[in-house]
Amino acid sequence: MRWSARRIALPALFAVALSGCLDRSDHYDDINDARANHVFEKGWLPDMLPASTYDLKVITTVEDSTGRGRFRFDSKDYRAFSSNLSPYNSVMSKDDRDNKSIEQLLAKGYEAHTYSSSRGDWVFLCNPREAICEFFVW
Amino acid sequence: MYAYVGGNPIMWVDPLGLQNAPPGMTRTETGGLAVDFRYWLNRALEALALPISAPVAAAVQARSFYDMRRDNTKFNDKYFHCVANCQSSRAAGSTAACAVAGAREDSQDLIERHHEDRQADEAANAFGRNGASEGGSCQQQCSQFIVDGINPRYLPGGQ
Repeated sequence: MRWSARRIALPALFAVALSGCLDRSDHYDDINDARANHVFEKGWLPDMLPASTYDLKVITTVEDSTGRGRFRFDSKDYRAFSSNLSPYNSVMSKDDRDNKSIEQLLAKGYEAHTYSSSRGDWVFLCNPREAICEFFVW
Repeated sequence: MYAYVGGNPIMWVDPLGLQNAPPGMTRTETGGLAVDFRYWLNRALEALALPISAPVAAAVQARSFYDMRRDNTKFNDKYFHCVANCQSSRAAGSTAACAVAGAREDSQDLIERHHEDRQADEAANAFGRNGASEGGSCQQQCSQFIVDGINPRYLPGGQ
């Protein structure tokens, strides 16, 4: 009965199936814009990004609580920011797409750091010369 | 190990430890097991109504999963899974709610979702469906899944 019931439910299913599993992409002009939109409060980024952060992009998959994105900042803030992070320890995301991206950025010579809290685990891959960091969270 | 839920901890829960018979059965005064005809009659009626009730359950669940995505708080999914199944069980019966939720989980496996996520989702779904027959709002029934950061409008007492 279980499978026949599911077949009956299928025509109405698509809207349900698509309602939670799609990625959501948001852009914020600067850190104040991100804060006003509760990005830190909702757990997608730790509230310790450089104060000069701008052009912040956050892509989230709420269904499995994974996220990724990037931000730019004033290069003079990089050392202070990275001092709050731990050295990268080859920790892997539960999303294989993100792991491939992490490997590609490492191969490009990006500096890798990690950060953990009760809200999740982050990997930050940064290019200090271009003053840009990409991040992955799960 | 899971005899208290009929050997099926995904579909059934016994949080208070008060169940003394598997689903569809009842205890007689002498302690024996007897078929619970009312339970099976309700199940049969719900199954017959599926062509109508499944779309209703799907619509209710779609609304809740839309709210989940709109709220977009990390780790909020179990709360919204629970609320979606509780509300759709009340609107369309637990059979339809279970069918739609199961089909949604099946469809998500097609995008290579991790197995432990499915198990946790199904546990939250089952908790919501079982809570549907209790009093109070579905948000209250599912309050154990609340995480920091969820917009108060989606919480118990929210608008």
